[in-house]
Amino acid sequence: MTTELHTLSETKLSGFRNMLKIENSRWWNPRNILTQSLAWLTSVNFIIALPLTVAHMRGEAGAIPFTEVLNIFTGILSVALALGSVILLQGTLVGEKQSGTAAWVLSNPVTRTSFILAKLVSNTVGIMFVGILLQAPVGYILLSYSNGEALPIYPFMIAMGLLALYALFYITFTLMLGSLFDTRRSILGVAIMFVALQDFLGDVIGGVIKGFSSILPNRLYEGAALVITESPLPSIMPIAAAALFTIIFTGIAIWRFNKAEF
Amino acid sequence: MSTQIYAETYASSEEDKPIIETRGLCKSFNGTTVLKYLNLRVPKNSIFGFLGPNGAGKTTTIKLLLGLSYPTEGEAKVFGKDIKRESIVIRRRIGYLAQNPVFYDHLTARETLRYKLGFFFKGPRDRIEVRIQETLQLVGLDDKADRPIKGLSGGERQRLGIALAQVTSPDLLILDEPAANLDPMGRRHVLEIMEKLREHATIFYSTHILDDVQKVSDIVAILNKGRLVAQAPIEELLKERASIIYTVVLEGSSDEAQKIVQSQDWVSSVEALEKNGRTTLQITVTEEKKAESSLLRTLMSVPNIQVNEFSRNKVDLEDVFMKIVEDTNNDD
Repeated sequence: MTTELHTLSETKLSGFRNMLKIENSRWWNPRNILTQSLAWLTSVNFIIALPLTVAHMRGEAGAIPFTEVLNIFTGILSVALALGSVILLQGTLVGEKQSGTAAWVLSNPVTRTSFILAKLVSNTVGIMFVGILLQAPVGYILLSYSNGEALPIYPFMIAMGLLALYALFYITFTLMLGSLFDTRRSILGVAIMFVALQDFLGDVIGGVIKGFSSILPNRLYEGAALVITESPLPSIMPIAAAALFTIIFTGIAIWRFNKAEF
Repeated sequence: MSTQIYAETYASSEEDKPIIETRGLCKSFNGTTVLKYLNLRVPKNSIFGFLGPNGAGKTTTIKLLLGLSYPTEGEAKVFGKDIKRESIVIRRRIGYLAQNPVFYDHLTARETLRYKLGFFFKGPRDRIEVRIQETLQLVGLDDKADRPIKGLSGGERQRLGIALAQVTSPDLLILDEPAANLDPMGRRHVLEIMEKLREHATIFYSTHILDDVQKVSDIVAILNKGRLVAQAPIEELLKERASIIYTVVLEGSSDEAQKIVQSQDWVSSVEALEKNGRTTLQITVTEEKKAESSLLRTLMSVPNIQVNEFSRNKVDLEDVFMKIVEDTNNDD
């Protein structure tokens, strides 16, 4: 009967498509995507929409300055992207290692690189959808309302691109931690500590190593706010650093997962 | 050890290369060696029983063969391919059932089988669906095929595991305790499936149920404390390892009978137990043929006794297994 079926051939990414299909099915099942969409919309745009609506109803449309609304939007969205990525990815590797499903999947002709990349791609697409694609139009409308006129679209899109890179930093960072640690607690501890302390780290280490703070990812959401107001970015260093870190983190995750034993 | 020499003689007499061959395979965890210089040879189309007490290193060996773990020392080949460098090629031809099978709970049994086949085949889709349906029927899960796995019982999960292991028509099935969570009916069903599959596949399986091993296996290997202590066809192992013991129940004066039997050069020991005026003798012999032809006649020739019962003890794999494990434990 085997001859009736068309056999797949071996590549460095054997099993990737099949794994991606199943990973995507977790994200895109109607219940999950609806829950995620509502949770993200509530935690990001609803918080901005609420004071704007109250001010509008009171006839005080311009009471909250645009720059303040903008900073709240980029600030809340960046925190949601960082924490959301950490929470959604903290168990993606550890959970499968602990339950034994990783061992079962890897007993099939699937490379470990495919395993990591399928997790990375499906989660990145999912988080980008609920965290950026869904928030951006609503945020654009709210910010334009607060501004009193439509914001220029291209700078806003570039700003969203910066925030997408910011999310990708945390997605790959958490994935890497998942390959290094065996408990969710360790991953959450390290990742949340980093989210919370990066400004402090920037100040302390930046005082010793000049330019250190400019490679930290929080410069990206600060840059996003600047770009929306059509101000120039002080430096492209945060973009280059975040891009480089995502590659390094992904590389470490693949390397470490290839060494892991199940 | 003569049973281990078997491996060499078998290899030279067999035209085909072994399906699994390990040489000096070792595995250590944090400085503790759990597998010590394992030399295994699993012939093509055999049902190979891999036995050993808990913690003997059976699952570790299986994980090494599947590329889920890496050897500290030594080498292993499956289908002549190196387990470290060619693991994906090897896994394409293997069906594996884990000791405690776990799957994605949100998927149904049908979706899980579809997922499994997706690693092996790209189509045609309708043929894949036919294969899935046939497999579900084979393991008796067709009526529960579209329920999420989280609703299945332990036995049903085990059956799904067996379905997944064989749905790709693998050349080698590696089953880690395949009947562990099954009731007697389920166990029998698994043995029947194994018998069916042996026509085109080699089956390498670990188990604690020695009765099953004796029923279906051609060859067994016994692992104890990470070391291979026996490897031979099952009949050979039973013949070599089992002592030939006769039980005789006598009435009358048994001292004379004991003396006469003990004096035979093919008798190694005689143990007597007296109860209610009867004496039960446990006679261990070294030469089966001589005992068969002479023992009863010798006893009948003794005056003033009556032989009430005469039987040869049946020795099964469990006795042999226990003896080997205890012997090796004592050696340590």
